Amino acid sequence: MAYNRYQDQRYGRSIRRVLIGVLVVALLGLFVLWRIDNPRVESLRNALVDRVVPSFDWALVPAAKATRMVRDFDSYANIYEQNQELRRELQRLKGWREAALQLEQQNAKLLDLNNVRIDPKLSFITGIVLTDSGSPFRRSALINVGARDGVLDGWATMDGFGLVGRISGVGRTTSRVILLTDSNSRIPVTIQPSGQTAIMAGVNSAFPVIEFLETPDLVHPGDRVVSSGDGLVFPPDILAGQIVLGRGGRLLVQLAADYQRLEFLRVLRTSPEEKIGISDRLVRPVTGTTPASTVASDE
Amino acid sequence: MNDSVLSRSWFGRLVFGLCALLVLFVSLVPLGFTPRFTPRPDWLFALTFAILLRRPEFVPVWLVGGVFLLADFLLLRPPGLWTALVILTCEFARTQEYRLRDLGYAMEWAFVAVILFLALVTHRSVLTLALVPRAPFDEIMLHYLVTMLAYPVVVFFCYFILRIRKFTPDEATRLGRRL
Repeated sequence: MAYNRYQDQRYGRSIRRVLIGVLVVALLGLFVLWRIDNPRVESLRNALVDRVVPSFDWALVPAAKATRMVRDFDSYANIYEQNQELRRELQRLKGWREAALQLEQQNAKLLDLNNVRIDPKLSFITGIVLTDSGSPFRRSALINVGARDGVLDGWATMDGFGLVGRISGVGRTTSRVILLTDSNSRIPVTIQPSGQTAIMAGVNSAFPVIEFLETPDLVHPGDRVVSSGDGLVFPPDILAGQIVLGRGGRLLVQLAADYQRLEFLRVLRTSPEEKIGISDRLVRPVTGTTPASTVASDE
Repeated sequence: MNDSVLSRSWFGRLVFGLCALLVLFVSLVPLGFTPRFTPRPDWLFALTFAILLRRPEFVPVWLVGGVFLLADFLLLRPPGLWTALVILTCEFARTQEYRLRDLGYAMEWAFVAVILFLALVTHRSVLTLALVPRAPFDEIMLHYLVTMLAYPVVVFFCYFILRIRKFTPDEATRLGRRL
């Protein structure tokens, strides 16, 4: 009897070992599959996230709000100074607002005089931030708009102040935003006022670095960094931040977006520009066909 | 008696599963996106091993596999690799559990420190071999240190709040565990 039990235990243990072996091999197989056929497994990931996360977003958003409230409570201590400061700032901003309004009117008048057609391609969808990346090595956010709302991979996102990141991975109702601080983020930018182009690269710290700059001497701390629109990655002229000097004279970007409190993100709807393949026929219609049909056949 | 042991172990599994889901949930709550100087510790790993080295039957392989695979997918890790490593590490720790039982907390901490280090190094080496972009080495080491500092906190939580404690020799004999 005792012998039998011992046998049973040994038998059970070896079966267990085989099962664990199979499980580990299957998991490693999944990793290899991910390595080989990345887009398919990533879309599986998107689908999974899309199923899991919205089912508890009722708890995610209040949890974030509550924690933020507790954090903000510290700042009540110096509320008086803050109030004074805000008042001064408000006065300054009122002055700016007046200037902006006047400029806007002037601009509208000039545009009207010139009969300019405003570029209609920039419109946006706003999404609520659902989750963090949850990993210390990745900087991303999940927002609650997805393929259902027409979001596509590669679109730019911003908060009210400036650029935040790029859509990468779209599920049905959610999409992932790779933030500018993520170490995989590379954005072509222009540095104003010198007008030089460069690449802004995330390094997993709060300040992305400027790379591939032709003449760094022309760039000073405080210069504005805007997206350049090169390579059709992003629409041009969206503010990303300001240049600051890092340790050892490295050029860093202080981001304009308020990364501490990202709650809503705007996804900029950008449609690719129409490409005009054969300019000749557009300028001088081929005899015998109407311009309309020429254009149609070009497409 | 057999029945109560069985229901107790299912209850323990439930507690482990819920704690793991809670950890995942908390790590996903969006609280400011400014990178901080210290990375977050790997609470899930600490929780798994803190319970495993106390009551191995609360942390069955399938549950570890499920939880870590879900975490792999949700936390944007290459899926499968870290789960496989954690399962292997768990199985090794399970065979050593009876030795660590009376050795005291310091030895347990050192044991977990060694196996986590090995798991992280293997993970990183495999990623390097597979030419996957990976986090810089110093950041991983910082993450490792923070996780090991967080481990006593998790053990404290398991011991005093979840009341999951190591077997006494008496219990171990009663439940037919190896001494």
